[in-house]
Amino acid sequence: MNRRIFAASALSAAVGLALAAQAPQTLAQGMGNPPQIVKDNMARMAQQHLQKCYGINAVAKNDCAEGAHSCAGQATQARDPKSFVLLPGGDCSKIQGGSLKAS
Amino acid sequence: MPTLHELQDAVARSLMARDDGAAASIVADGIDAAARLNVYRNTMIASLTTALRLSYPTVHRLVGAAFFESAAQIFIAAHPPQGACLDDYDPGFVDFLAEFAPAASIPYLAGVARLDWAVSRALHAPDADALDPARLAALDAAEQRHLRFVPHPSMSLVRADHPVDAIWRAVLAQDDAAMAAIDLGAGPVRLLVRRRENGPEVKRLDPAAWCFTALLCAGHPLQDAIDAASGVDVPSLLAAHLINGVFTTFAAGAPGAHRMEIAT
Repeated sequence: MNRRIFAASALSAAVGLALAAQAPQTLAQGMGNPPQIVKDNMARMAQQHLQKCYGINAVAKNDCAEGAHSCAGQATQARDPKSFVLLPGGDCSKIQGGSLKAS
Repeated sequence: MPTLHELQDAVARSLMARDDGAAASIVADGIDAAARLNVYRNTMIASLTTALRLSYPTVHRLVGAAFFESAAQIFIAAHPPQGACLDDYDPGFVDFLAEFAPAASIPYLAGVARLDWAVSRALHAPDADALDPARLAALDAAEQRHLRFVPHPSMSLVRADHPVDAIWRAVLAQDDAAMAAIDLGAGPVRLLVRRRENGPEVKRLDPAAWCFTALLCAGHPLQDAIDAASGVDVPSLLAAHLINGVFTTFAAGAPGAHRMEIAT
């Protein structure tokens, strides 16, 4: 193992680089902006000063979903899962080349 | 007259197992007791479904509302929440989707769910200050050998067999052209997910860098991670992680003799 890298030398080089570059963000920030819905969630969290985990009311996950109805459960008829034919109907059809085999 | 505990048990059984034994203890008053329990049950299912939809927005868009709700109901019946905080509900949905036969035609769905959950975790994780690299400069040689990092609470590392980051981005942006351009055969992706100032970051890492980062985040000593990861430019990658605030603090010293540095 004569080419072994030691933590000490790697660390001092890394710390040197990090301290030198610390002022502005100089490294790539990943792949562009997050999607709008994620930004909206962030904005909503900031705007409403949402507490992250103090109860069941966080982030619109309240008893009566999102105020659509005074008691959303009253309006929602539970489907019988056994009699419902499950076919995905969303955006997955827009993605080409689906395969059941592992690539 | 049942005790409060007996009554709570009966209502719980009514909600989860559709056993309306609790109806005997409920005053009808306009709406009969079974209908009242039904309202409660539907409300519970609706709010848990909403919780899942908010945690798994990409999965919801991919499969559509009807499929999502049906899958969620089957999941909820088998995996009721274990705590009151619905932001924590429920990482088990990922494994459920992986085994869910009606979703088998969408082989990338569980991978997308895993990324959705990581992003959701990142959004709800507590704040924490980044580790100041200057604190590392003061360590002696023995401490450096045993140095272990503590990752930011919003950090997670996701591996998926399909390009789920491209799918996540295209689906949430409703960009049909980007969706059509996705190559599902492009091979696995290894991702670093965390929260930044302006939102979550989903960044691809090459396999060696991902492995090195995963070892550090799992609490392995720096030297072990270096020895296990060949082909990694350790100083550059470590510097990038330090600059980007991937770590919040560190422990230096032999395992068992913790000298934990507490971030201020």
